[in-house]
Amino acid sequence: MTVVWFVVLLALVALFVSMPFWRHRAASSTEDPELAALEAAREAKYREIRDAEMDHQSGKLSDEDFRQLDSELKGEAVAILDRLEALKGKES
Amino acid sequence: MIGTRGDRRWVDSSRYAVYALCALMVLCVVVIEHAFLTDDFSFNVVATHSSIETPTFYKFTAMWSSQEGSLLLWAFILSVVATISLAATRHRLRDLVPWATAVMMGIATFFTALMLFGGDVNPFQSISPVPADGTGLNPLLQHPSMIIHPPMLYTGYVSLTVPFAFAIGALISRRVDAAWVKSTRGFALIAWTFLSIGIILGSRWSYTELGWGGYWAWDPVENASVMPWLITTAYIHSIMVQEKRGMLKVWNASLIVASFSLALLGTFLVRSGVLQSIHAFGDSTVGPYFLALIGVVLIGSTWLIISRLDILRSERKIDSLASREAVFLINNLLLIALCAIVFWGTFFPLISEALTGTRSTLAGPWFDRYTTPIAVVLVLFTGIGPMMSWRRISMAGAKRVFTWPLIAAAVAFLGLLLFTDAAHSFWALMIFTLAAFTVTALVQETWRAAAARRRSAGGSILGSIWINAKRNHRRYGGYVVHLGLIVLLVGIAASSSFETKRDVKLKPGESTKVDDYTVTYVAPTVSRNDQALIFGAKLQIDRDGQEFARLNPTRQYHQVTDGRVRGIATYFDGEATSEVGLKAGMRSDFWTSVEPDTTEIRRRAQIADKRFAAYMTQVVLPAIQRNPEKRGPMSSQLAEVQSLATDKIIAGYENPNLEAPVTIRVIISPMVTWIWVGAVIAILGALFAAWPSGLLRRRRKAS
Repeated sequence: MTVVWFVVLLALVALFVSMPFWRHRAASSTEDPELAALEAAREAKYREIRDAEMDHQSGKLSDEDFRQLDSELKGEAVAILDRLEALKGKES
Repeated sequence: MIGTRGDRRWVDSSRYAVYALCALMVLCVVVIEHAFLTDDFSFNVVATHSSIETPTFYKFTAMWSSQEGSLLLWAFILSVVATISLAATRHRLRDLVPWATAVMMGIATFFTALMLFGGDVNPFQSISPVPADGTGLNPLLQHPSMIIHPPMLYTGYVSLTVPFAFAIGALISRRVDAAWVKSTRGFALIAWTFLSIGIILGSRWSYTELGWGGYWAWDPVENASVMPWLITTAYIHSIMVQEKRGMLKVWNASLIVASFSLALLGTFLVRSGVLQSIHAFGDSTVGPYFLALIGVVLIGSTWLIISRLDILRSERKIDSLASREAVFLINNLLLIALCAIVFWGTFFPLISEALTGTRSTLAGPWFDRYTTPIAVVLVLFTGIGPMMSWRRISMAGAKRVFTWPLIAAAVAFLGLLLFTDAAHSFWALMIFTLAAFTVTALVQETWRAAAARRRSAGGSILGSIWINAKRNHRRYGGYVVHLGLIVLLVGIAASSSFETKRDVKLKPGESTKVDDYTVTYVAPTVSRNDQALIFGAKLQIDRDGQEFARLNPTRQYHQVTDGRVRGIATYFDGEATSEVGLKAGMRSDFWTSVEPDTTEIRRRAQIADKRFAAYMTQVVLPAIQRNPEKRGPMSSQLAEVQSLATDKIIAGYENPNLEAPVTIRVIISPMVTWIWVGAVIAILGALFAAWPSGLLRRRRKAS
């Protein structure tokens, strides 16, 4: 009886694990890692910009420091967006 | 790994294999649980960790009280967290997921192979002949906290496999980018939350069940759980520096390796019997395998980090020491120092034995001496961190944010000095003062951000706080965690520095004074259940002439489970547990335990046992030899008589003429409840921080 159970389970597992091979090679889809990394970087940069704005509004950053930091951060954000655009353009 | 060469179907297939492993592990757990619940003593694990008399509730949890069952739990939880992490990343992190899958399944292979080939740790091992009853579950483990504490702690330990596996995957695939940071941070936060729940439940169990009156004893196994917690705390902070500033990449990779290695070390400590602990499983054969795994993890990871130094270089340097990243770095160093002290103290018995040949242990005061000052500075930085801005804070900004917290700290310091006894403990005074600083800082941060929102968008201040929190779960969840930890630390400082502890010996009707309370030993109590004799004391506690509480602490003597012939006196040779009498309050806890004098009861029980033994050899056995059919009726008759004799003997404990004295331990601890309250706040904060923000949820839905 144990052997029967073992064989049934083994067959079920083998069937399940081999399922991806029944479909076409290109059917599996995942996002481009480069794109994912840039999108995560963009998200982090937006958060940084929002944090800097909040720090300025709550008085932690002087006007001068904020202006400098904000333009630095926005410059970095633009660079990320440019790279994103370029990558998307290449893909399409 | 074949899938990394291009054909993604291999990667999908490996993910399906993880799902299949999870399903099989569920099946294994169901089989073992079914065996426990149906008293199937053909399973060795059931026969040695349960019995017919074990309450059903505890039969269900008995699986993880055994070495083999807890290994199965490890493998089961690992398969669940691996399934969740791979399902969550099935469309993402294309390059590193195959490697992360390989690492997680490598660890899973270790645990399943250990169960199958590691000696006596196979949960499916059967025994023959099948015993009629099992030896029962250790009574100390029959406590509500024990139902949930081990699975929570294990989930914390095991969850650390996920960030570790993704970190290794990122290093191998050379993708140490923002996408990796985002995913591992989330997994680490979840692991931290489970570890926190596990640790605090363990403390609660220690406080209410072990009868020594404390919640933390610097026991090796307790220490083993707190070390990965400290390192994961450091990681959760420093990963933010990497995310925002592109710095500390080597540091973060090392922290995640260290936290996983410490989780394995904790598992090794519980299982190897190398250090003595109330929480450990005792000697076993699995220790060397764990050491080998830890060795492989450490050597392999170190080599990998060194070989990837080119991609782990910091993109920037710290602009100013007056910045959030600098404070996070200091906070990291403090946490590492704390962990190093705990590590040294925990392993000192082994180190001293290796160097001098004599095993010496370091007790609680040693740990307190070195950890308390660091904890105090950490409280300070818990407040400073959120007030700093990234990159640098201006002088005017610093003045603006530090003014109120400093005023609050000064007021708290003077108030405590003038109106309380806090000055009797320097470190407690420091913690209270800095707690005032930190709480004010957190409130100020929340308030100012809400005020800024209100200025630009209108609405109420509470509404603005809620909108800010909803938009930034991480930040506000973090604030709540900080608040919870401060409350917890204040509870620890107050209860450990200002507790009153007295052991008093009283006879029924006698009273004694402990601080402002009068403790009266009203009467002895005695009862028994299927498993134990329970001796207790009815206590009345009065304060200022008014009744404050009625408590009934008990001491339970469990029947032996070592295969000896059971008598009445053998109850006193088995495990003894305490059920404390506790009146908990927000200001202080009144905690009592009792150590009854059972000398007279034992003496009577021994006499009865001798008579039973004589009756057995002189009457029962010859009668059974003459007529074997009498075995059944005579055995049940004898059991009934023995039961009646037990009742009669223990009833003597309540006899007023006996006047048996009891030793009552009384502990009055201020603010212990705040430890549990602080932990709940911190855990809720962590859950809020880990919860995906509305923006993220919408983006995921759209994708």
